[in-house]
Amino acid sequence: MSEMTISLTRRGFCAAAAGIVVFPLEVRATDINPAQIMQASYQATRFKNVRFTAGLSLRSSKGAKQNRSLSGVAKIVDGGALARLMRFTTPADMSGVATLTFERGSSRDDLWIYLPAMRRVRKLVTANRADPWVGSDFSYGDILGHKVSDWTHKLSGTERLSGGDCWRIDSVPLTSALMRETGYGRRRSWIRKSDYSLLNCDFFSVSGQPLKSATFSDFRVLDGSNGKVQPMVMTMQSMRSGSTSTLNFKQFDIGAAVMNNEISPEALNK
Amino acid sequence: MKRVGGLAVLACCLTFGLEVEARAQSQPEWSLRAQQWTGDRSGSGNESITNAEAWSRIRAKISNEVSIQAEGWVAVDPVGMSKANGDIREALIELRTSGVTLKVGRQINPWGRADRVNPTDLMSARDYRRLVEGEDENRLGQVTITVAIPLAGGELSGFWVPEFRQNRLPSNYDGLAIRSVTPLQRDSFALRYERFGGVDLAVTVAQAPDRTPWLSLMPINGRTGLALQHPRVRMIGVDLATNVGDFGVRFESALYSHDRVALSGLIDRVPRLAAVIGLDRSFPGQWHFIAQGILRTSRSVGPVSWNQQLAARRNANIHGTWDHSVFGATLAVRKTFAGDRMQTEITGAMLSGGGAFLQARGSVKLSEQLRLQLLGEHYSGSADSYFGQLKPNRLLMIGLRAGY
Repeated sequence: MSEMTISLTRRGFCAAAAGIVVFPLEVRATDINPAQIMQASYQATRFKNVRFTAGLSLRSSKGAKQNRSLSGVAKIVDGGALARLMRFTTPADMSGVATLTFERGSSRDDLWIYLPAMRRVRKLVTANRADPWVGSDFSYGDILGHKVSDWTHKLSGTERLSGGDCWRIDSVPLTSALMRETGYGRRRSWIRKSDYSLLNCDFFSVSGQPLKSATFSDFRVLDGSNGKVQPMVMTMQSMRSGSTSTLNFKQFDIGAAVMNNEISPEALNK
Repeated sequence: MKRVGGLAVLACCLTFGLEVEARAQSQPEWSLRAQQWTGDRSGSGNESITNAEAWSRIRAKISNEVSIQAEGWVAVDPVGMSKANGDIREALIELRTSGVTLKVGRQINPWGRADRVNPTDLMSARDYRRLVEGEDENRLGQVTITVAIPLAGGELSGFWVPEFRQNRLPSNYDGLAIRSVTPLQRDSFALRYERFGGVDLAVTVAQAPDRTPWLSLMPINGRTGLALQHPRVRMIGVDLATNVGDFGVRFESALYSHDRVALSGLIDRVPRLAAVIGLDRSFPGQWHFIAQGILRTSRSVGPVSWNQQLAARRNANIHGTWDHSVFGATLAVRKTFAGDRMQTEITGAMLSGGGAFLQARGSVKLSEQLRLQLLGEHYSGSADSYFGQLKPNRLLMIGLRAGY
């Protein structure tokens, strides 16, 4: 491994979190492994246990707003899969609706939804990850997360955004099936060099047209020793419809353990 | 449930809910609904029915181990007979400790993974006369004790249902003197093992009085008369769902064994096996398709004398036994628009020799709290066909719904 290669060791994370420059300033773009940057960014927001509450605000292109609130838990379960259960608490017509996602990578992901009116847990088709998550501009695929190894990554440059100096990385699905399932032909990510935080992400259709644009803000260092940083506000804007969805975390607690029976399909209706 | 009694219980429940709210900081949720229908589901000829309903539900956590849950409704004309009524659908207490879950009280436990047609859904009851927009809103809760324990990566649940509530069908027996017979053994039992994963799977064994009545002959005041009876039925069923490529695959099947002691005459076949297999798939633009195939087979118990054929046909229609093998299909197409502001769905179903059914539904969100709903249903087939008999009419509905 050359000195130009980015180290993804715990030590590297610690250094990054502490704001220490771990890479030579004169790094040539061709020497940087973009997949490793994406992996570091991906890992930076994965926590062993999380309990959270959040508000989800949907705004149409005409300005009509819908506000929803939700609570949830997330946990890295056996085998390294990230499970995330989210249950809506308001408004009344959404109250009790819950989704559970198991992100294992590609077609092995699992999605379930519980609709109180039906009183049944329903398995969703994994290939439908392009579908909107509960009517928002986030898709199920966005909520599941885009596993780094399912995409090829190419560094297309560096750029200074208001949040800091960033690597700009283009990612393309490895398979046409994943392209079809996610609805994305390409993603362009801006990763902050100082802590691997994803600041912006643009999504393009299979034909290359701009689809959506995500911005992440209000970053909180929750586990500095492990380089874990969480954006408290995530905004997704649809280029086609002009609508915007904002997920705003109110509480984000990584200290309390999440039991396996709290994050199973059986728990969706409890 | 008597109307006054039902309303009183509902009032108590809601009051209880409000009290719990104060202690557990859980808000009761409301739904107010107003609808105009062009007919009822009994084919009475009434062409204009106005109904208004108030629903309320609460789910409150009393402690880490104990929670309560209740839901009920009151309506000015719930079945189009110009009579107000109400019902407690659920009122239960749930205790969870060291992996064991105990639920006591009135509850709704629907089973099955197929779309709308659920052969394993043996013990839950419905009021098919209800003028409701959603298929699941006509369900009737029943007093049940449920115990669930984790087992082999899944959950094993035991059900004891001491309360018996029958499926309420649109009346098809006008002019006949029929006695409704409450089953001597009213309680039901079931065991259900359910496991989720790459394949979601459940196996259910159950024994219960048939929720759907059978027209039977029995001695009444020293003479042979007509009665609606509920023979015990035993069932073993399986339902599963998984993903295969771009498709969701759902399968559900049940084997039945009816106790024929309570049934005399008027029946030449009883259900033996029912199976549904379906595929669902989504397409860009939030289009969702569900296609299903249905098979029902029945077992001969007849023969039925010629002068009882007409009544036997009614039983056969309601229980899907007019032929030894009945084939069918359903197709549902759903389209959702941005932000879930507008939803549309068209569902069609047909059964060999049983007619066909077409339903179109749509809703538009007018504001954060208010939704406009439209419903149209069309049934084709003769009056003694399955669809013709169960819901012998065509309906249109326009309504407003506030809340959930």
